[in-house]
Amino acid sequence: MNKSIRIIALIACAAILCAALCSCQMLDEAKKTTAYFTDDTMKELTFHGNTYKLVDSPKGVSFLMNDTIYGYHAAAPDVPVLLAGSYGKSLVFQREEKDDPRIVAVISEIVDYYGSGDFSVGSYYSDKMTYYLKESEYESLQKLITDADCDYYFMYTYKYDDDYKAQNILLDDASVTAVKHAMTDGKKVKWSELSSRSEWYGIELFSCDKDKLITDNRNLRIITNSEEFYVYDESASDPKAPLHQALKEDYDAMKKVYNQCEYSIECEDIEGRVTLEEYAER
Amino acid sequence: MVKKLIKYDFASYMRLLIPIQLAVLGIAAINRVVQIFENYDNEIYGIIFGSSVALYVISMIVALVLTVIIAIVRFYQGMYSNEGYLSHTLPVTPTQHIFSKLIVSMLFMLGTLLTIFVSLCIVTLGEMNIELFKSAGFLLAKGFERLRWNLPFYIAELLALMIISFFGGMLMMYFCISVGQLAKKHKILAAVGVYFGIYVLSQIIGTVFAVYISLNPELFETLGEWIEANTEAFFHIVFCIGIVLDVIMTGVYFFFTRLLMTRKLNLT
Repeated sequence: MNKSIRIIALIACAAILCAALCSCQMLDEAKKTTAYFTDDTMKELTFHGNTYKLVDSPKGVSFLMNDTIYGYHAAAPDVPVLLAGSYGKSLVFQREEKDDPRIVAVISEIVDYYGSGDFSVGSYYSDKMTYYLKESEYESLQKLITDADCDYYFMYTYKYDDDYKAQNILLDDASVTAVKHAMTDGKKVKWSELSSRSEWYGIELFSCDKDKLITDNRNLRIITNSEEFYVYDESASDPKAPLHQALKEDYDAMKKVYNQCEYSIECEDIEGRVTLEEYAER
Repeated sequence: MVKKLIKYDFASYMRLLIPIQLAVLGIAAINRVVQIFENYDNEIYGIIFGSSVALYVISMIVALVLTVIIAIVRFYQGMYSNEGYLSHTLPVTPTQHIFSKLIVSMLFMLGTLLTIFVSLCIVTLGEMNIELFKSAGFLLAKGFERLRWNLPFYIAELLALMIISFFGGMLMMYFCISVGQLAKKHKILAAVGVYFGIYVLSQIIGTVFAVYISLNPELFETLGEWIEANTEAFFHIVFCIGIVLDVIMTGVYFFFTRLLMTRKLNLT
């Protein structure tokens, strides 16, 4: 009897020890998706064993953070990993850098983009984000953002399949020239003149550097129909200029229609290649 | 004599509840062992893990429900069945009978809760266990940061409310059984009927109160504004009113149960 009790006790102890030493997938996942600030100043954070340092970016200049991965959090050092989602802030980084992100951004304020009815998808979070750079890349990236040279443009394009997908198409030199021409002359440009194109919906152009890493958040609205488009730089145009007024009227009309159909699936049409007149007639 | 009564009841509870509590711990251990082979991509693992979780949850519910059922059955058997002839000839007052039954049922309810707590520790054994305790500590600290000294009072009030509610609930059952035993036949059915009668009555009172409040929008609004301005005090008041009402109801049930046991004993 004593012997069998001892054997049972031994097996139980072995099982308990085994269970105690075993990892837990849910906990491992929570650890993997949590970054910790090293202290309350929030100037540094550790993520996946790497240290990330807060970037000192000039006003208005930010890193490009489109097509980011969500579900990650950055929390204060005293927050338990299981509560990082509730007591931490959202941490995002580029999908293409998933395995080893160079730049991570902490979203300091969550904004309901779809509730705001604003057009500017790409830059919407830019002033709500704080950027942290991987320690090993800090100096080069910090230099890049300090000497921001945003003379290029990319088109923010997106589409809905089962999911929202975004893609930034960097315009080649010929396309940039076409866009600049359109802006200067206030003329419509045929889509066919734009060599950098996508089949996805594109309604905005953003300034960027040649590596598509940073932007100074100058964005050009694209006003389009099925064949041609013209662009409108809200920040650079003289609001009194007749051309600007004409463009703005078109833009406002488009926005009005957009707002009318904001919650309709047909929104996709106006963001695509349907003429404003066609849409208004529907 | 009361000590002997408690001891006897204790032994009776142990015979019935210890195997159930061991089963809860055993099922928790099985669940933890299953987790060693954790692989959520594997469908078979998912089925086995899901089943072990379901079994564990069911075992916890069964343990809690059985603790209450056994407390009720022990009271009925000890007071109004054949065993009642012996119980009522003992040199023990009805008050002592009631208290001995209440104390034992309370102790075993605490035992069952402790078993559930230990089983939860077994299920999360390892690093997860540590993280859960850390999270609980963090939430408590956050709660204290926000509520300051209200928090310990909330906890104390809530505990008091739970204990008194438990006693009140048990005494309500004792009262139902005591009224039910007055029937010549189908005593248990009569007790169930009394229970539903009390339930319906309490629902009617609650509904009348709710309708009264909703029919007085000004009162509703004033109350809402006051709650918004004094949220912390509001919860103290709610807990205290709950405690006072429960104490009153517990006293009423105790009084009538004792009265019925003293003057209207109707043993089969």
